[in-house]
Amino acid sequence: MSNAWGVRGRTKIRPPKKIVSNEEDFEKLWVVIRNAIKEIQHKNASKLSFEELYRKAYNLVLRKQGKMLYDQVELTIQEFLLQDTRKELLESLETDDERVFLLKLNSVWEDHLLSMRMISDVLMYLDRVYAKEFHLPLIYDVGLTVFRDSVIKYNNNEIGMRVINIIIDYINKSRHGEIIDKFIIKAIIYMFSSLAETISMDSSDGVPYGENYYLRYFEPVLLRQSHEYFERQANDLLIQQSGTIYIENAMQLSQDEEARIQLYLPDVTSPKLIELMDNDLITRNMESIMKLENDGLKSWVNDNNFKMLASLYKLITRVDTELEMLKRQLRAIVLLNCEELNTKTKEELELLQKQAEDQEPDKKTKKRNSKENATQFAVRWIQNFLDLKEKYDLISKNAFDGNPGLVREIESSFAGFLNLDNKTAEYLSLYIDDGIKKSFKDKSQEEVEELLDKSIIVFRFIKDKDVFEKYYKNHLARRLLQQKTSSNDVEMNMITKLKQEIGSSFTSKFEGMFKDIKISQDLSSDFNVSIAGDEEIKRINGRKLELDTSILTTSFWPMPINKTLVEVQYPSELELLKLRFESFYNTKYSGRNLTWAPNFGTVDIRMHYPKKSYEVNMSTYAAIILLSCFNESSEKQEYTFEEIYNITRIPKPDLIRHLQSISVASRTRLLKKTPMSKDVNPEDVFSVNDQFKSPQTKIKVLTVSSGSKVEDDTQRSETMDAINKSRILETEAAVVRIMKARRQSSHQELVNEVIRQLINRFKPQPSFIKQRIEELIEKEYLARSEDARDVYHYLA
Amino acid sequence: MSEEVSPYVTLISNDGFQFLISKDAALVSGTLKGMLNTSFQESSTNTIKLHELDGVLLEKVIEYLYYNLKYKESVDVPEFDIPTEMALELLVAADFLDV
Amino acid sequence: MSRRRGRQTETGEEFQVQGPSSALTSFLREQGISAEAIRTRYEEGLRRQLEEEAGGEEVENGGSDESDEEILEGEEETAEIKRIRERARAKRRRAQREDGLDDDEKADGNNFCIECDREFVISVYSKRIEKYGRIGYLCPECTTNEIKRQRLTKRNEIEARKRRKKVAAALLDKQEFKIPTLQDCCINVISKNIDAVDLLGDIGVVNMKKIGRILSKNRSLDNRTMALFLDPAMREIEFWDCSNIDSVALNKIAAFCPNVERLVLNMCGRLHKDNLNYYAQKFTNLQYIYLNGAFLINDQTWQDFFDSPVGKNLKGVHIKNTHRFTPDSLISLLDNCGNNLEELTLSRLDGLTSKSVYDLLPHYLRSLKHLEISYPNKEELIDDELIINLMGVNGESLETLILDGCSGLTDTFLVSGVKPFCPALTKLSLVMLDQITDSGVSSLFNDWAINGGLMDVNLSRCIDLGDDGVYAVLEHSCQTLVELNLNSVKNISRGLFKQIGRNLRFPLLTALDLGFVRSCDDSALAVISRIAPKLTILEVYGDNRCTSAAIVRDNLRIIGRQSDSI
Repeated sequence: MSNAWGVRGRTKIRPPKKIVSNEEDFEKLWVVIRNAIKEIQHKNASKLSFEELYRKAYNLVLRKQGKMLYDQVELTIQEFLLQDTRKELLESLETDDERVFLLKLNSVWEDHLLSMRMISDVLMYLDRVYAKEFHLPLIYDVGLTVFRDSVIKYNNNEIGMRVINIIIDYINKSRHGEIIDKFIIKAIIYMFSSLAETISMDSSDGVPYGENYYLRYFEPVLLRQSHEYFERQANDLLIQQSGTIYIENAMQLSQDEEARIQLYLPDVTSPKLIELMDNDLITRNMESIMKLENDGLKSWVNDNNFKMLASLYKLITRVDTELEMLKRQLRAIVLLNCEELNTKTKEELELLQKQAEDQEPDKKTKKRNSKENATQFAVRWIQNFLDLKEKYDLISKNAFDGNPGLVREIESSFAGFLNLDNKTAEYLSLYIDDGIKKSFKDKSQEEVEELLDKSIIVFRFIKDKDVFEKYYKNHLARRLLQQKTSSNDVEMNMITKLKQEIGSSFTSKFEGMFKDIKISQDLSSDFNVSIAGDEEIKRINGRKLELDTSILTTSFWPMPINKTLVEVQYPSELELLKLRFESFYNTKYSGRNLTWAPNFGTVDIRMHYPKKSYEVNMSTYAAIILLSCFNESSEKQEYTFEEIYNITRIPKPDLIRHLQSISVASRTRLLKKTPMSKDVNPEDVFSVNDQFKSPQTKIKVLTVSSGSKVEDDTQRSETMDAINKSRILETEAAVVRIMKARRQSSHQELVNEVIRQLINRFKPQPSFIKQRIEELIEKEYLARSEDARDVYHYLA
Repeated sequence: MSEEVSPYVTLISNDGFQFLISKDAALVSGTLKGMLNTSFQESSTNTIKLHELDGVLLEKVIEYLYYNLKYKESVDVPEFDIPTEMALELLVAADFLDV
Repeated sequence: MSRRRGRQTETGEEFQVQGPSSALTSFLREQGISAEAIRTRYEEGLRRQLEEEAGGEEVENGGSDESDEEILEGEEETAEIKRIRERARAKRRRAQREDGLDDDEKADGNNFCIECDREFVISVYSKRIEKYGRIGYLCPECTTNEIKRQRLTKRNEIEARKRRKKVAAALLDKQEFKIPTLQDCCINVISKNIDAVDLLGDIGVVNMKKIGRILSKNRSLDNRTMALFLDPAMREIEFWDCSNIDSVALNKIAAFCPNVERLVLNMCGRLHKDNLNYYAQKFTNLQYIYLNGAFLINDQTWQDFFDSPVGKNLKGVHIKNTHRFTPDSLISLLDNCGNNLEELTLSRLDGLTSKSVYDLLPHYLRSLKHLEISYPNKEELIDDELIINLMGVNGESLETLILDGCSGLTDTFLVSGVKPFCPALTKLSLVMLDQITDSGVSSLFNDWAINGGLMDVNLSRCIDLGDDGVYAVLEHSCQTLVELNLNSVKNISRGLFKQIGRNLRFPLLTALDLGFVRSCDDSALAVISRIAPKLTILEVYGDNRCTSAAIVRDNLRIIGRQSDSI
């Protein structure tokens, strides 16, 4: 029906044709569309004309009958789905096997999508104009909703729940190893995911609304079932009480499930499922698994079972990046291993001894000096510790991927153990001492380097480094003085490494000791050159003599100057050398005080016996005794102990020892002792033993207790006292230094700064520092501030 | 890109005028696109009878289709000329064809 | 096109008209660019705009219907939403998995809720979260709440995305030239020759609206032409310029379109009391009414209108620019339809001089989604307590809050009113609130967990704001911000740009106004260009440190530099 308009004015715009809207007309137009929809749903679209349908819908919308059209379309779609599709599916559920049913469901779904596409294309205008204006969903989406409600959810989710159960069932079957049709599952799940549910804030059944059918109905069931499944699996495995079995199976289950998820579950589910699975398989049980005695963490660590450890590590990192469980357990095992070090080392030594005895049963059981045993124990102990550390290093590298958290935990366990007492410091020094003296000799440079580096590793663990310093100093002094060092280079190397670790204040004394020795060597050779032509010496001794001195700068060396030794009387031979050396020294250095230490050093004496001459090396004291009392020029043939003491003025305890070494010790009885007892009494008489014989020409007189040995308890406590004394001094020095610089400080700041400065040597307790502060206040180095009790200021 | 698809479609106005246009031009219109891409009658015959438009209007629409195709990507676009009298009817037609 | 008021602020500045469109137009005019080209482009832009939205948002400030946002824009949108949701969920889940297990919370048996500390039994559904630095599980109740909160955030993000698209499209069209549709071309011709049109016919609602808007813009809407739009089937009438429509013609609207549900009459100075009375009889379906400039209507007429059945039925009332809307008028409004109002705008109503009448608002208004109270007669009339009370009652549903020009407000209402009560707020406009301080804004936006993120924030002329406050806003809403106006927030320093460059990203930001923010310079522009990938328009009027040397994306349009041109 077009209106006729004449042209008025210049150019008139022709109005478009107006259509009169009418209820009846709706029916006429609608019925065509309705039939078309039906044809489309029956896959008979090809005979239809798009234009006709589109036009009819267009007209309806223009006539403001969009609502009726929209509603009717929805109803029509619904009719088909309810009556045809649903029926078909229900029948299939009854008669067909499950897989066929699923295929059918998928097929009707895809058909439906196709139909909806076509219907919605034809009704484009309805979408574009009507739906938009009234904020309604597009026809295509309506189709999805109708499918959801009429096919899947109809009758209390009848078909839907059946499908869900079938699929869950399949998934369970697949978990148990059966082969299933993955594609159909994936397709159905995809269908579920496409069916939107509204986002709602309420949830009356306790389950939060998902945004689509999959999330709302399917996923919760899946998660629940999966949880039950994994829980069951975990329990079955747990019963077997074997870490290996549990872990290997858990990993397998895990991998399988992840593969499964990839194949047909949507991305949104995988993190939830994985979390659940990890929880059931790993988090719940991992601690008990690790604790299993026979097939758990402990046995794997002990056996270096990298494979199992690595698997364990992999599993735990899935759920706990901090690895708290593992760290705890590991710590316990490390500590256990450390405690075993003692017993282990002891057993080893006993075994070695037994082996030695077995090998040479004839040789008299060399009764090892208990002190020597203790030293060997220390050396072996350190070695065992290093082995233990290396073991864990390998474990960390190979099984734990070098995880820094674990490495730290292990290290801190070691540190905790090693610092329980101060034995470690002592052992370490002995270890190095032993190495430098003996075992390093036959090792290559790289091996030596490695061993030194390992020593440094242990050194790092030690908290009270000043304890170590003390021991090391002592041992070093002994080595240097007794020339037991196998190589100066090795010594210097060690010192350099220590310096790198801690700084030079620590090692300066060591270096000083070294320098002393070096200078002494040079001095000695210069001196010997200078007395080479000395007539007087030749005259007294019948030959030229050589003197090798070691001049020790007192502050470097651990031995105190013993003033009583000044009293010792030297025989003329030695006295002359002494004088010569003193004057020689004074020409080189002026203003220095030399104090002789006869308690150290050795003398080589040529002894002529009727049948043989021997060259005997003995301690200085022993030489003094012999030269003073038993030389050719001696007045008497026999001397009592008292007499010898009066002549030589050697301190009595030392005198006893050295007399024993040349009169009691079996191979070096240069003197006869009456009575022949072991101990020495003041009335005992000593004379030259002219029956002395020895198979060797060069003989060495051994003095009792001259090596570096493990301290006994009294010695140890003496050492600690000394250390404590020096700590007091160091702390006080630190406090004064800090206060001098700052002029004023609060208590807490002062304490913190003191700790900071001393930490490389030892860690002072705050209460210890407080005591030192109090004492310094008494000594009037500091004073408390009047305004604030915990603020100090420096008194100049 | 299949060989069977012809690059041309026929549009017929309600007063019998036939226009042969390129498919690309037709696809400018959302409605025509739908018609050609869905498996209804039109897509198999490649012919569309438009009952809402007469020849004059259809011709103008087609002119626009080509105009759009030609200048779609450029920046300097000349105005599309529309005789005043037909503006409203053309608007209705354009609305119908989603163009 | 809001009416310019010659009133001075405390600082003596004239009110500026906000919004990119007006600034743009005037700039264009200044540049002497041909009116023809402007109009053509404008109309094309409008056409596109109107195609994509049902609300009249872009053209006018305020008074828009937020419910328009709910449209599903087609299949792609649905799938896209799905993808976004799924991705976000997976990300959240993954993030939660990365957290380690807290020692104290064992994975089985009883547990203490990390939020409310109640004891409960863990199940598969218990949510694991990280809070207060620890990791633990939530009891069922807290789990539900947490999920709700996350839903809200997600929803906000999706809404923001939709909004962004619209805004972007609208803006884009103002600069880039897109080939016009045939419909637009026709509308163009029709509008130019509107005198030659006697009847519009079945061109569709959308096209009708477009033509109507264009006619409004070029002042061609008059008695005759407006009649073209009248049709009994019309549900919405929007006339943006009624200055040429006389009272008789205005009655025709009701006569011919009695089914109208939404009525917008802008610049309706000729609206007579007879009209309003007639409307009260005829518009039986009326739900939303927007009257700007109805200064002929007196108090009694207003009251009669609200007293009528039509008045009682209203869901949205927007009144602007009349001094004759008195306290009694307001009381009548509140009495009659206050309880059901979803939208209320009271803007530039000089007749409202009594504070106590404003204070009545919280007693009546319960279900507001949109609230605008702007440019009151005196700033003392609108105080913190009023707003706080309003928020207390309406906060749950409130989506838009515009308080431009209420300079009597202080930080208190932000902290005690907005923060605790407004989880659904997506648009906030606080133009010219010069008592708002940096710390107030910071307090609002820092840890504002219940709110999922704002989409549209206007803080222009809040001169007391500085880096901290602005950063707090940005940090809170960076994921959802679509439009942001910081014009004249001059205390912003360079440091802010550095900070946001390092820490924040703005995936949806589309329009940004940094006019008269002096510290904005070329490097700031570069930063913004990088961190706001969808930003289309960036205004920098008065920022003379912004030069043409700034390195920005090609598709980011910077307006307001001395070197800029259209």
